[in-house]
Parts: sequence; C-alpha cells; structure tokens
Amino acid sequence: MNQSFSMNRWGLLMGKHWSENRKKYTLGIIAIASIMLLWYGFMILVGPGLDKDVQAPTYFVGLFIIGCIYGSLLFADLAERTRGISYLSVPASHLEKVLCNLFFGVLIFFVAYLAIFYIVTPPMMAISNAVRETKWKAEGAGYPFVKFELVNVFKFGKGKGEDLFYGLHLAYFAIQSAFILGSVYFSRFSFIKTVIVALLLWLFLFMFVANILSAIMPDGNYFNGLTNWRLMNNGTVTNKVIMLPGWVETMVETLFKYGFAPLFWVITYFRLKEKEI
Amino acid sequence: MISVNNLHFAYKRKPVFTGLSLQLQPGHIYGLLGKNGTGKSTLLRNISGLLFPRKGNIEVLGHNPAERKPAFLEEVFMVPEEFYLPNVKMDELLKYQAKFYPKFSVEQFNRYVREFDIPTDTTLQEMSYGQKKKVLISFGLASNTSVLLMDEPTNGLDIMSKSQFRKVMAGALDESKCIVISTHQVKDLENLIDRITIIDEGRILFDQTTENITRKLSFRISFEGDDVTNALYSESSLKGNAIIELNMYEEDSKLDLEMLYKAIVTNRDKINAVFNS
Repeated sequence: MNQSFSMNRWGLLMGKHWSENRKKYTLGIIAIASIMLLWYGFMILVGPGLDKDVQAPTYFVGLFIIGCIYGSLLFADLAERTRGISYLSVPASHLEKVLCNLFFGVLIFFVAYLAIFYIVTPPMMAISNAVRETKWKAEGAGYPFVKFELVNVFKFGKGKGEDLFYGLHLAYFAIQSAFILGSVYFSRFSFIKTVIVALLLWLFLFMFVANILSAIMPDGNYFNGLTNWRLMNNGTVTNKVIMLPGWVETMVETLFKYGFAPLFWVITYFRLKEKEI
Repeated sequence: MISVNNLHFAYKRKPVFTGLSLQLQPGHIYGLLGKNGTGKSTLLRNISGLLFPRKGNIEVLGHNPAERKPAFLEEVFMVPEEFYLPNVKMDELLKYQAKFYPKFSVEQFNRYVREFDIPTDTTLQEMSYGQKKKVLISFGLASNTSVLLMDEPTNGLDIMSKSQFRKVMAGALDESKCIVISTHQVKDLENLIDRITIIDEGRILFDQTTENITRKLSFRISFEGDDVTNALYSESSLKGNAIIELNMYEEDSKLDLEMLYKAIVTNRDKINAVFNS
C-alpha cells in the first residue's frame, strides 16, 4: 500500500477524527450560533438594527477570530505528551494526518461557520426588520420604510473595492494557515505565540521595506504600490519612475493572495514529519 | 527484528545514550530494567519513532522508525506509561481504531477484556486509570503487531490486575512477536520475561536470557556464614540470608529478579565475569 497517501487509510483517519471530536464540534457549533444570536440581539436592542454594515463585520470578525483560534488548536494534541504519542502512533502517513486536520479545520470549519451565519442571520434580520417597522409605524415617519437585506459575504458590491470580501476570505485562509503552523511549532500558548511571531515578522518586513530598501534605492519614494519607485530630486518629485517588470508585481500579488495558505500548510506537513515527543 | 546501533541521544544538553547498541529478536519477551531516569522510556520512544537518534541508527523490521511510515506503525504498538484514550465507548474504539492494524483480532480483544474484567458499557473516560490501562494493553495485544513496546505496564494496576496481566501476557507471545517491557517493578514480571536487559547511564549493564541466568547463577536462602562470604551477592531477610552464587552443580533455582538487579547494580563486574567466563 502507498506509504504517502492511501484513500482507505485517510477515510479511516477521518472516521476516527470525527468519532473522537464530534461532541466537541457539536458544542462548538452551538457556542458560535449562541454568540452570534446574542450579538445580533444586542445590536437589535441598542443599535440601528441588522443592516449589511452589521452583518458583514459580524461575519468577518467572527470568522477571523474563531477560525484562527480553532486553527491554533488544530494540532493541540502534539502539545501534550500522552495525546501526542497517541496521535503520532496512529498508522497513517504524515500527509494523511495533515490533510485530515486541514479538511476539518479549514474546509469543514469554513462551511460550518458559513452555514451557521446564514441560518442565524435571516431570522434575526427578520426580527430586526419587524422591530424597526414597529418603531417606524409608531413614529409615523414621513419617509418610506426600507427593509434590511441579507448580506452576500462573497460580494461586497459593484465598482471600486468590489472584490473586498473575496480578498478578506483569502486573507483569512492565509492568516488561519499561519495559526495552524503555529499549533505544530509551539507546544504551549500557540495562539499568543503565533500572534507575537506574526507581528514581529510584519514589523521586520515593514522595517525592511521602509528602511533597508529605501536606503539602497536612490532618492525617492514608493509610488502606487511597492513595485514602483518614484525618483525625487532634492525633495522635488520628478517624472521618472523605476518600475519592476509586470510579472514581478503579478507574482508578488499572487503570492500574497494565494500563496501563503498553501505554503504554510506545506511547512506544517514538514514540521509534523520532524515532530518528536 | 529490532537493531539499535551506536545510539546517541540527548535531551537538549543532557546526554542519555552515548553509543548504545542492542539487538532484539522475535519470540522473546524482553525486560528492560533500570533506575528511574536511565533512559528506558527514551529507548522505547526511539524504537517507536517518537524520538529520533542524534547519532547512530535504529532499524525495526527493516524500517527507519523516525520516518513513521504507516507500514512501520501498523507493526509497532506502544503502551506508554502515561497514555491517552479518546472519550468514546469500547465498540467505537474498535470500529475506528482497530482497522488501522491489519492483524487486529476482535475476538482476542474481547477475550482480554473479559479476562481483565473491564466494563464494556461505559465510555473510556469514565473508567478508572487502571481500567483504561487494561483497555490499552488489551488493544495492544489484540493488534497482533510484530513489536509490542510496554512502558511500565503494571503501574497503576491493582494486585488482581497485575496477576491478570501476567496471565494474559504469558499467552500472548508467539514466534513472530517481540515484546519489550520496560519496568522498575521487577517483581511483577519475574516469570514473564525471558531476556533481561539492564540499562544504566545510557549503557547496557547486563543482557542475558533468564535461561542462561538460572544456568549460571543459583538463587537460594542460606544460614551458613561461608555461603554468605562466598556469595556473589547476599542480603539478609527474615527467612535467613538470600544469596546469589555460582551455579556449580547446575541446580534448578527460582530467579529472583529484584535481587539479581541489585546484584548487578552494586556488583556489576563480578556478575558479568560469570557470564563472560
């Protein structure tokens, strides 16, 4: 049998994972739905109601926070010796183990979260609209009543920034993958440690771009992104711009958009391979 | 079957093994004895692929344990001293875990569960530590892996359970299996193991079959002062003086593992000289 990946073994691993975690997952779903209900209830009582400006941030803030916390717990078994021994001793390959965890932690979590959002939001939005309509009738306002609509979390709108939600989803998967990697790297407090490391890396990148690269380049500044450098002459802007080739910009953009999540998943796999307990 | 060659291992800067070599063959129950902290568990974890040698190599059934390939993990089962079992019922444990081991026998498992008197209607987390340990031992034995590694298996077992353990283990060995039991509770395994390996300070202090030991050494109680003086090791007891002496006349005597262990630790050269002559 293939020692790297076997569908049969992966299926067994998924069954095992589900049998051991289904109670935890069910409770997690109930907890997320309850938090969302409470939050919406709070917003109906004290806020303007559940318009798209409430729904979308609720969805994304929840996705980022809960998804990253869950990601940082995905390999939590490795933090504890007894659980770690049990996990690493299961006769399945490292690839199968990583794919099983990613299936539940990335795909199933995302689908479940999306489903919770679209199950909880419509009835709460209906309540919100009903409350607003009652108020509107009581006030006898002279303006027409406009019902709030359900947000499409995959489409921000049209025109400038229309791909904002798409970009936020990509950013979510990239950031969550960093937390998943952190859960293999750090035995304890992986969430906090990952946050610290990510901030330090971000700071380093910022310093590198702002100080080191700027020092190497001739007098000038970044212009319309990080791949264009506008030359200056004694503090006066010139019309000369140093541009990196278009493919470099495309490559960097693609890496930032689509590269980080798979890259961190691959590093997670190699890190798991070299894990000792 | 298991070949440990020039094993070097250290926890950070604290060396545990500095050139340990050991060969283990099928058809035997090996008793790995030694003081606390001498590296018994570390050796088992190196053999099972949970820790990696810093230098030297280990080969188990032709596999490098550090690669943790499924084909290797299917043939090696480890019963750690501190262990984890999921919060599932026994039938679920069988349904989702047993299939990973191609030679697993449900019939055997049920027989061990009966012999160990383990309740079957509760989840594993509701069981006592001893009951859980007996489930794990039963599972390990029923997996019928070629290599079974047990780290302090009798820790946490009551007197009856220890007796059941000995009975179960006595019937578990066959010509294709190699069972390694690490313990410092030597009395629990006295009639079980057929080869004794004593580790101290990362070295093999003693490595002999029980047959060879009882052929060359005699264990008895003596009241004669001369016997005590000439003995390889002696200690006073309520019944008289327990002594270990050369078995000059090939008499049958009952191996006292605890006394042998103490004799080797306190008078290693003298004991080893008997076996090297």
